[in-house]
Amino acid sequence: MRKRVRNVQSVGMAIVLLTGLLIGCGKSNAVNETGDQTGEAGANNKGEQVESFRFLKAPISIEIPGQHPYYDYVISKTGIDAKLETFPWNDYTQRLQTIIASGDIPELFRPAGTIDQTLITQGGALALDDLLQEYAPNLWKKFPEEVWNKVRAASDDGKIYYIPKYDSDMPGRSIIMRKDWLENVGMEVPTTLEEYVEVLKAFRDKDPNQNGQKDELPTSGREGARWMDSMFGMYGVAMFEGYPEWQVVDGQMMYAGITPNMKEALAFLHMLYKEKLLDNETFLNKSDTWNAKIQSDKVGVWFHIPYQANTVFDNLKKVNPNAELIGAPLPKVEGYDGFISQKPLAFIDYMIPKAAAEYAPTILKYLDWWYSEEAETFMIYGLENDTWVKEDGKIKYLPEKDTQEKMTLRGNGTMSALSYYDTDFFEKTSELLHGEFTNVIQQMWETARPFSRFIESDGMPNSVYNGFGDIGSHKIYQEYAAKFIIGELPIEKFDEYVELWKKSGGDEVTKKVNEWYQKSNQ
Amino acid sequence: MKNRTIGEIAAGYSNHILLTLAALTMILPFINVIAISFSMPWAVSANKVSFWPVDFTMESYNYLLSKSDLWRAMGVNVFVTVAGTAFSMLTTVMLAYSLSRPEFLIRKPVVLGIIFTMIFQPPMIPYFLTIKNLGLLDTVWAMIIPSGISAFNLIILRTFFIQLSGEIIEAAKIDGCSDFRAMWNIVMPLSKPALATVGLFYAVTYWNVFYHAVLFIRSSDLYPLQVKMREYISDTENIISGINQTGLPYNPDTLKMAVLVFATIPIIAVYPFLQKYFVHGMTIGSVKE
Amino acid sequence: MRKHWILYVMAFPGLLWFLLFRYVPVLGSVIAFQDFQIFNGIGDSPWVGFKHFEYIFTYSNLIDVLRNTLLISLYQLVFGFPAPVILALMLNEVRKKWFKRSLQTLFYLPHFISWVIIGGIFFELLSLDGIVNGLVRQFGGEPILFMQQPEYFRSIVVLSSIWKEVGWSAIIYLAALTGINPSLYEAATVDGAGKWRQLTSITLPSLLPTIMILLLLRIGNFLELGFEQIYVFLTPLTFSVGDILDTYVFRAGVLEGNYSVTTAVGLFKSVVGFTMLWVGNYISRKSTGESLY
Repeated sequence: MRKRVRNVQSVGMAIVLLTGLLIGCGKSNAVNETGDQTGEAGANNKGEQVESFRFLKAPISIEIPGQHPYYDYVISKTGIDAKLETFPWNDYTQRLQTIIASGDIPELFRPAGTIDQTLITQGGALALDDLLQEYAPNLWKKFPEEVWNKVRAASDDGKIYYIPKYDSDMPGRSIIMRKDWLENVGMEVPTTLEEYVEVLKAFRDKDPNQNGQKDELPTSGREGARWMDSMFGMYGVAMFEGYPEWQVVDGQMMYAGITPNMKEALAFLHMLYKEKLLDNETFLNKSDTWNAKIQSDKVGVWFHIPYQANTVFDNLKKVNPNAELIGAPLPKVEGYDGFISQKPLAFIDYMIPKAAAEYAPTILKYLDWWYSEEAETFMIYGLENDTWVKEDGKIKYLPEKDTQEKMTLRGNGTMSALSYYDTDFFEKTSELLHGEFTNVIQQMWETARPFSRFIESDGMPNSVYNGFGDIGSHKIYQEYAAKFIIGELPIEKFDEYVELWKKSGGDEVTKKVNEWYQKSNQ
Repeated sequence: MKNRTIGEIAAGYSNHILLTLAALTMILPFINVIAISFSMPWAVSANKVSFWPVDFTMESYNYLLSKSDLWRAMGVNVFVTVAGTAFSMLTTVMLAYSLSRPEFLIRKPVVLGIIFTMIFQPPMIPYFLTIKNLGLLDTVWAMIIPSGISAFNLIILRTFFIQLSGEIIEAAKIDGCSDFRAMWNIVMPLSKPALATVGLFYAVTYWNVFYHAVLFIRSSDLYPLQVKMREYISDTENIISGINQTGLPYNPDTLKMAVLVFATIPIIAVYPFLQKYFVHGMTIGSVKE
Repeated sequence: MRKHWILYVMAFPGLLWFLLFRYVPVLGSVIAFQDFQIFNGIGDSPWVGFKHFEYIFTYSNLIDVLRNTLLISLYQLVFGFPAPVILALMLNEVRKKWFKRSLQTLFYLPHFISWVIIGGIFFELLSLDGIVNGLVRQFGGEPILFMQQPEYFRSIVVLSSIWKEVGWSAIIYLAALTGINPSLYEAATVDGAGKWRQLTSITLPSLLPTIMILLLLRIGNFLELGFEQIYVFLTPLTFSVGDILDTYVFRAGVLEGNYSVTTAVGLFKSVVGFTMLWVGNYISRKSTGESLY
């Protein structure tokens, strides 16, 4: 009997030990571990004290050089050594989650997926309200007050837990048209809906790519009715990269996927689909098939990001040397206030975990430097007497001295910790990057600008959808939008779809979105 | 044996034809992958490549081979595969043998318990924490030990062992063999096809190690091929989206295919060598019953 | 027991491994009964009982999701499971060694290509300009958008997974076939048994243990369809027939980073699978005498 008791005891011990393997660690040893690895002030080669911290972000270049004159430059300016870490973007969210679970979070990191909300609600993020004003005054002033209000609205206690990425006034997306096709069919860039449809018809019927085959797709979109924002935008629907956003209708925030305007837009797209003006494989186009159609001289009009259009242009030229692109205005639809949605706050840039509170002043001072003029010059042109020289007090850039590696390292993302971008910045980099294509890209921006509009749901945390996966993933919208467009369901059934959407959690989400909206506009 | 009926001859021919046609459909995608890996990005982006490279180029491979840490990653793969397969075979064979013997009294509950682990899989975060607390995190062993035994392979091997006539083993034991000797001298030589199969399964799993590497490995020195190569691809994607790289003779698509070719050909090549163990009559026929 | 102590010694490393690397972490499935907070860990996360299970079982489309999961799984079992057996038998009839080996190697190639690439190939083949619609046109038909027609979805899923894995899965049967004593065939030939008779009275009975074991294991994973494949093939127009448990949990749990929900669904699938395996094993033991344990 006694032996049995002892057996039970030892089994119990074993279970406790084994369970220890499972939960042994967590936040408690976070401080110890980070303390072990970095953080002690070291000395640089000149013997000055250099503070350092770990800085995790992606997507940036994976192969970060260990040593580079650029690091020395930034350390010499800030006295701070930011030790960059990264993971491939595809696994980034998962990696970050395991890092959080093991209590080994770097002092500054970029959240991804829903990690920002996870940390805020679970008490793992550091509130930055006072720290920002004290240690990062330039950064603080650069962002308008509305932006900070939106950041505050993303947490229950109304504090600032992250620094957002902010593309202030860049018209990021635009209608892109084949200029040579327009010339081949003898038409002008359309400005109204009627003209737009006429152009599509001509693209369909008049062999604009001049290969003798009727293989043209006047316009095309992607799986889930994505990347056709312009054709929804014409009807005043807030679409962003093919996902319905939220907009104010009669004083209340409403899901753009269920507005009466959406109904009109779907009816219009159904007409295009039936007339074969819209690629009938739209709902099967993955991004590479869609790109392939555009780059193999088959598509006349599409909607995308001008900043990346140079790659398309270059590939297209190899297939059809006469190919030319042009940005087109949003066609005017009578009775509708059309626009192209812009989300300057689409991403969250940086958070500091609570465990790293003692590093916050250092980190914020470091971030603040990137808002200085010398930092901007460095990001765009590199180092003086290396890739640029001073002539008559002005910067003369030396492209022949610059390399891919240097651009990537100092630029938009790898070393650069800038979170606020304006058009001026993009225009300067575009001149360096896009070569002969710079003018066309700038033309696209100019054309899109008058139609671009910040949408009301910009900066809204994804957590409003928590518990309602079918609403948050836009599953219901995508399924029904596709059925309406291909004509499997008549548009008269739109109200039934709206009812279904509301019943499946849409009402609850709408309530949460409106609460957020009230808070963010206080 | 010689007098086959007409029906049998016809069946034989149609069998050959069917198999050949089906095998052709199996190889075409691979040819497509190879063709893309040798084509210029513009042709790939425009979907012009099917079974022959368009605008032939080796640049995707040159880019990969220019990476100094590529061979290191290959070395990690070879080590993980060789050491892992050895470790797995050793533990699996011993356990499978024990579980195949009726004298192993607790075999029923143990087998049931093992099958339980096939169906109830550990959730990611607890799995990660266990490995971390065992001190394996960020070591090469994290890619070997946690995938040490595949319950599936174990059950397969056990089934093969059971099918060997129990009499053979009994006879061996009467001759004075211990269980270990019986396994080593009698059972294993008779189970070459099964061992080759299970060994192949293990080797392929280790070679393709990905989940465990992504989950448990932080230092890029220890990255296996699959992870390393994905880094290169992801890097190219960043460069291309951020910067004017239109003149580049490779892109993420061509690289993906080059990576696939580069990383899978070594492991694909293993199979033909193992096939010599798949020979009829090697097992029971060779022992007098 | 004492006499066969060496069996226990040999089994020990493997058993210890299962304990440490499978049983300990699987205990973490308790997070299905918590509002698991990744930052605070299992120890400090609040317990919520069956909340997440209730959440899953009150999902308005659950019936559709379960029906799709069960149907696709059933088709995979009925059509997909026998395919490698048939392939192995066909390959077994090929007499020329080099030819047989080359065929075997070719058949196992697609196993190494990811679903993303294979999905791309299928979308391409079945597109308006693809080979299949080329044939349809040749025979005077109207081209069909196969990938977005619900009526073709499940067939495409089942066919493509047979195509991808048949050669790989056949390896086990090929190994099992080598174990058949050739003298059995010689005796049968002397008795004048034709090929068909040999197949049904020698080959298949010899393969039966292997077939049954694999069948039972397959049944245990009945609700595991492989998320990657379905995710690649599914489009909004085929949701009604292709939305399965794995794609549902992707929306309901993975996208939100909600590990408790994903674990709850995993537990549900495992309990169903284990029950089915247990019943299957019982039936198998009574009817064929083959048992997993």
